[in-house]
Parts: sequence; structure tokens; C-alpha cells
Amino acid sequence: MNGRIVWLASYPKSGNTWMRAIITALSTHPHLFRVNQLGSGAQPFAVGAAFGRFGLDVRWLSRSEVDRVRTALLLPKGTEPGDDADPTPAPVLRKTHEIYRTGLPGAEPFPLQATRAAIVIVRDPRDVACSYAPFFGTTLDGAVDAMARPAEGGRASPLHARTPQPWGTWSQHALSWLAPDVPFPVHLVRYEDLKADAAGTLEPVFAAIGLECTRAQLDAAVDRARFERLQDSESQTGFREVSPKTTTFFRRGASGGWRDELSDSQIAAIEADHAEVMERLGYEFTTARPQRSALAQSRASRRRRGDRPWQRVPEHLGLEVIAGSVPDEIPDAARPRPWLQTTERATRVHFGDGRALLVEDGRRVTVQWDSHDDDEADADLSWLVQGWSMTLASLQRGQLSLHASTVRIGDEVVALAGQQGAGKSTTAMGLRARGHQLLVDDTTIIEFRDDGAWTTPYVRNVHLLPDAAEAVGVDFDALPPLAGRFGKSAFLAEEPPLEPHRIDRIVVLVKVPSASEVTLAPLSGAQRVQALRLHVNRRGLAPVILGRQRFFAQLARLADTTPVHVMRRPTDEWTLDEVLDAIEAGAPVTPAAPA
Amino acid sequence: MSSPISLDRTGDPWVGVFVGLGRVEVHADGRIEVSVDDQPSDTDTDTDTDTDQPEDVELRRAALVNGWGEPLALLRTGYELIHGTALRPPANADQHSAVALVLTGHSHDVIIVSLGLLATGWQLIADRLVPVTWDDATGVLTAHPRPAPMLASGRRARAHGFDGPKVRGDTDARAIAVARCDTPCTVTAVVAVGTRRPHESVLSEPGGIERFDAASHLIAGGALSPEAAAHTAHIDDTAHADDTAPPTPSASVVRANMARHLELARLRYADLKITADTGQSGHPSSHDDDIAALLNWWAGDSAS
Repeated sequence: MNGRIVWLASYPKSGNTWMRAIITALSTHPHLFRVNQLGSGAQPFAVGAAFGRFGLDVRWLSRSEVDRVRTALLLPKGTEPGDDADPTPAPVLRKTHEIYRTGLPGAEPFPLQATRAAIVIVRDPRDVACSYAPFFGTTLDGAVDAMARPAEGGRASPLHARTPQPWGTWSQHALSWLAPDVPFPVHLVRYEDLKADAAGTLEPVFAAIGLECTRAQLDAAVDRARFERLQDSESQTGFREVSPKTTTFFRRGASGGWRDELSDSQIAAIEADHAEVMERLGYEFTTARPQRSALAQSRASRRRRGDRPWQRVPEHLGLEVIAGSVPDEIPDAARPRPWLQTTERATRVHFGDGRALLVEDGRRVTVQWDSHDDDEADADLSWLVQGWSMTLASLQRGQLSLHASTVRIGDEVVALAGQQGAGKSTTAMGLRARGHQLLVDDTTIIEFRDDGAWTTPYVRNVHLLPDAAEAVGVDFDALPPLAGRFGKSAFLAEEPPLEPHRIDRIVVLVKVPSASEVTLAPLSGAQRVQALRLHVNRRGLAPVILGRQRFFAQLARLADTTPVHVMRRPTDEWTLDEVLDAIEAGAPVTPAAPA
Repeated sequence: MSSPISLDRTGDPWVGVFVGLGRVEVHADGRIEVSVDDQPSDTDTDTDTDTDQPEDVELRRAALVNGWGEPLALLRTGYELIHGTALRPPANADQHSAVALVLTGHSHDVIIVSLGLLATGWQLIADRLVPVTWDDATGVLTAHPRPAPMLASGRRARAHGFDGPKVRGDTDARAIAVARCDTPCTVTAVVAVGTRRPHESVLSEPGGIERFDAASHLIAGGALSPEAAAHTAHIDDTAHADDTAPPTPSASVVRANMARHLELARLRYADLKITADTGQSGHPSSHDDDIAALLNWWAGDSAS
């Protein structure tokens, strides 16, 4: 055996305190056992003990020095040797809610030399949510969401004598401790098994960690630490570990109580968020796998979106976005469309109902948008910034805006161009589902370098119709609707790499009613110009803002430097897999056809 | 793996070593000598940071002096140390002697109340660690000024109208400029500060065993205990951790400690439960009502 410390590791509200109660009861006289006498509760992130141990005030330390203090406090006890009478000293049990992780030499959060093993306590996340909500003073919905977001677990700063104590999500927590590369023995204990037979579950675990006790002693300890007794003890004296947000710690201690406490949607959300780990740990589901998978996608999108205001734009885009009043008239502006006024430096787009957008100098964006009903309260306005504003600003900066979604397929970057409804987003999302990286949806900004056309990805919502969402396995109803874009919802994929990428190929998606199969064919010369023109025109804005000569020069350069394929597909009788297979293959699936 | 931190009290001077930070020597006469490690340690991963910049060395030197050398020096020169912050109230016509209030509890809670009092004219005697002496004849406990500056986060300090320079590069701990009391003061009251839970009252006075229990935890233990000053040891791989039993003291030490705790329990005690600091929107919660409750209690003491 390595060291002496055995980590009692669990996500919060998973039975750690109950386990500590059983262990404390093992070594405490029955008449003295009280809830406020629980041992093993000193968590490793709290390094205020350095005062008593070294006379050291950690408030004066840097963060990395405090990490070393943590290790320095763990090492002595964890490495205390045995003697002739007891060559294997008794384990030192220490509670932690942190995820398992490694650290730099001298600053390991869980130093191997001091560690003997870990007992990882897991509990059905649906029950965890029911306990988490009152303990942390949140709603059940809040608990469900919190368990799916990586948590920091409280303040981490030398000033508070605390190192970081990341909990991760419920799934991350379990996976971190159960990973095959954890360098010490890990004993998995399910809360539900403890409820069914605590002594039988713990007997082999305690034997493995060197915690000596007879079965009779263990049975007695389990009895003394019965939930009702802990509740009773707490009611008499209070419990010093109770959260400031609540009055009682020992609430129900039930297994399966979630069936009474959670709504169907809350249950579905937890099962979607933690499906993989729940399955691995043997928890049964109430929802079907496809439903879980689709909801998981949408919930992940919502988490990525978070509370990010739609005005917030990544810095590298160079846009300043404000919500404000847009003037009705731009002096001396051309009016190529009834809803459009533009000069070289400013463009105003009118959306009706007093809603308008003004983009100036390729940088400043003013959005005038009044919500007309409560249905738009949750609506997403980011399309105004990510789509229209990006296009107008880019054109003002002299860059082309290609109506395309761009995906990295292995080493190849492919832009999927097409008119509205051609299937750009669906195809891009389908490729993402196959493990390829979505760089940007719908609006690909082009800049030219010596070796061709390049684009810089940015965070951009994918706009999905219900059938497209279904096709790519996303729960449409769980996504926020797009304001002003009837019937579409906003899906936010993972943040793409923000460095520029050279576009290796453009695939123009075309629906052809008369086609009988999906075909992919290369275009050349004038065919490319003709095919791309529709998709860089941007409703006629590009020639107006760039100027016709510059517009055509850039269009010709794009066609000249970048291979273009056209993908024709029938309007019926086709599958997304056929389209994706063809694009992944890269080579045309039929001989070149005239455009 | 050897411990990155050690404290050797087997000789004179006492020697503390913090790998990557530096070395501190504390002599019997209270003299402190510090040497700062001028090489980044193997855990300094930020290669863009030049850790040898002069100002950084000075910050580390100050950390070793104020955060390590000074507490040990106070212990070596005969002071007992209380975990807490001592403050002196504003002078007024009714107060003829210099008295002190000691705040104990988690540093986060103590700093909130300390700054609240300092903002109303109180003076700081000692922050976080109070050097005290006893008059055995009278039983008077005296708090002595501690030179180390007061530390608080910039956000917290600014909320009370204070500010000061950062003490280390990557934390928000700041040395706060506050009014200081430079004369010893008689400790008359101890307030344990904590976060208020639902249904808890703002202020209560513990009695009986609770009061004795509070008193028994006032004097710093471990490396900063009075016994530590008398009995030297090499704290590297033998001393106890925070959650395990300390070495069994002798019967005479136990008796002396018991007597001391009974003396301490004669002070006036209160438990102050302050509003949980949610820190939402970057603005600390208001604790005006909590401070008012404390001042009201303190005024009652003065009146009596």
C-alpha cells in the first residue's frame, strides 16, 4: 500500500456525510456518537491549517504557492510509516467533492505518495438533484442545470485560504475518479447499494483499504449511523456542516425519491445530460435513447449559449454592438431595395415594425429592436449580429461574405454554399454529428491571401427548422427561438478554433426536383463564377457596397483559387447520409456535368 | 517526495523553508532574516512572467516577513497569539482607557466586519493574528499592535472606501491603508463572526459550555501555540495534520491551559451572524444592519 490517505470522493449530496457517519460510528462509543462529531471532514482545499502546522499565513502567498501548501499539509500524515507492531497503519479518511486531477510536482492535489486508495460514492443524479436544490437554496430546475455545468465549488484564493476545488459536472466527477489512469485503487460504492445493504457493501471495501473491523462492529456502526438517528441528532443540536441556504442537512436520504419530486421534463433533462455515466453506473432510464440524445444536444447548446447577451461579440471580429436608436434616413444613401439604404461607410436595413439595423465603418453596429410580445422574451437576436452585421461590416471592409456553412473534415476545410433552404445548416450539422468540426454556419467571411481564400471562424448560432433539427438529432423544442425568424431555433455548437483557415473546397448545394439521386460534380472556369455569384451577392448588397468592379474581381478570384463542386439532390427520396457520404468522400461521385 | 515546506525549530534561529518562495530565519530576540528564492520553482508554469523582476522579489520578501517571520518572531519574543483581528473603538468622552474588541472566525467574515467598523472610525490593532500578554495578577489581557498590514480583497476594500497595493501578482489580496492604533489595549470583548443561516438571529451571547468552548479556541495552536515556543521541534514529517489528535500534552500543560481558558471565558462574548455574501453583480452584500447590531451590543457593554 502507498500512503495512508483514503479519499472519500463524491459529488455533493451523494452520501459522503453518511459514509463518514458510519466510519465515525465505528470508532466512537455509542453514547458519544453525535452528528457534530463526524470525522474525516477536513477537505484538502482548505489550507488554513498551515497556520497551525508551519506558522504560515497563506493570505500572503501566490496561487501556485497555496497549491504547494495543500500538498505540504497532505504529505506528512499521508506518508506516516507504520511500525513493527502495525506495519500497515490505519487509513486516514478524507472527504472531498473535487474531481480527480493531477498537478505539477510538489503541488499535486491528491499526492500519490500520500494516497492509499479512494472510495468513490455515486448516487442516482435524479436523487442528487432533489437533495441539491434545498441544500444550495435553488430550484429543482436550477439544480438540474447546475449538475450539468462544471462547478468550481466555491471561492479559490489565498485570501480565503483555499485552493481550487473543482467539482465538474455530475458526470465529469464520476468519470474523473473512475478513469483507468487513476494511479491508486478506486472502490466504487453506489448510494443505492448502501441503502440496500450498507454493511455488506462496505465490508469488502473497508478490508481492501485496511480499515479493520468485524462484521458485527460494522453492523453496529451502520445501525448507529441510521438516517433517522442522524436526523434526530441534527434536530437536537443542529449540524455544523449545514449550508447557510437551508436549515436541515439530513432531509430524506431516500433512494428513488426523485419519482415523486421531479417533473417529467426534469427527469428527461438529467437523463439526457448524464446518459453515458448513468448507463455505465447501472441507473435505468425512463426516456428512450434517441430522445435523450436529441435533448442532450439542445441542452448542451443552451449551456454554451448561457446568459451571453446577444450584443456580445467575440473580440476578434472587431465589432462594437449596441442596442439603440437607428436614424430613419442616411444622407445621400443609395436605395437599391426598399428596405435598404447604403453609402460606402454606412448601411441601414429596415425590418419593419420599427426594427432596424445600422452598420458603420465596418465596425459599429446599432440594433433597434423592440419586442412586441412575451413570446420573444427568450428569443435570440444574435442572428442580427452574427449574420447581417457580419456581412455588412465585412463588405464595408472590402471582404466577400459567402452564404455558406464551413466545416473542417479531417485536414480539409469545406464551405457548403447554397440558397436559403438548400440544406447548408443541416448538412453542416450532419457532418458535425459525424465528428467533423463546424467552423461557422451560414455566413463565411472571405479574405484572400497568396494561396487562396481564407476564413476566420467565429461563434455563430446554427438556425434550424424542426425537420432539420430532427434529422441531425437535436431537440428543437428545447432550443430558444430566433426572434423575427419564424419557425427557426438557435443551436450553438462548440466554440470553433479562432485562427484563420484556408478554404480547400466549396460545395454548392442545389435542390433539383427532377434529379433522381444525389450527385457531386466539379465545376470549372465560368461555371464556378456563375455558381458562386448567387452566394456572394447577398441580396444585391455586395455589388452595391463593394462596388461592382471590386465585387466581380473578388468573385473571379474566389472562383479561380478555390475548387468548386455542385451537389445536386432530389427534393424527395434522398437521405442525409447520402449527402454526407459524398461530401466526406471528397471526390465527385458522378462525372463532371455542365452547370 | 519531500515536503515543499518545512519549519525547523531545533536550534536558533528557527528556520522555515518554502521551496520556490524562500527561507526565513527567526532569532530568539525576534530578529527576522529572509532570503527570497530568485529562481522560479518547478511549479511556476507561466513562462511569460519574469519572476526575477525586482518588484516581485520584494513582494515575496514581504510575504515571507509578514506572513511567516513575524508571527514566529512574536511567538519567540513572548507573546501569545490569538487567531483574530483586534480593533479599538473611536475615542469618546466616556472612554478613558484603551480597550479592544477581538473578532474571530473565518477570515472572510472577519474582514467584512472589520472593514465595516474601520469605516466608522475604529482603529486596527492587529489583523488576523493578535499578539497578547497577560497580567497574571489582575487577569487583564492586553492586545498589542502588530506591524503587518491588513489584508483584504480589492473588491471588498473598495466597497468600504479603502484600497491599497496588491501583495502578490496573481491574487487580489491587498495591503489596505487603514487607521492604526499604536498603543496596547485591554481586550474586553470577543465576537465570533459567522454567516447567518435561515432562522438564526444576528447576535447572541453564548453562555456556559459554549462560552468556555469559544474561549478554549482563542489562543493559536500548533506551531503558534505557547507550547511551541517552549518546545522546539522539526516540523517536516512528524507533526500532526489538522484533523488528527495532537501529541498528548503533559498534565501541567493541560492544567495551565484550562486555567487560561477559564480566564478567557470571563471576557464578554457574542456570536455575530452576518448576511451571506452573495457577491452578485460584483457588488458585495450590505452588512450595515449586522454592523449596527454589533455596535449596539458594544454600546451596551460600554454603558454597563
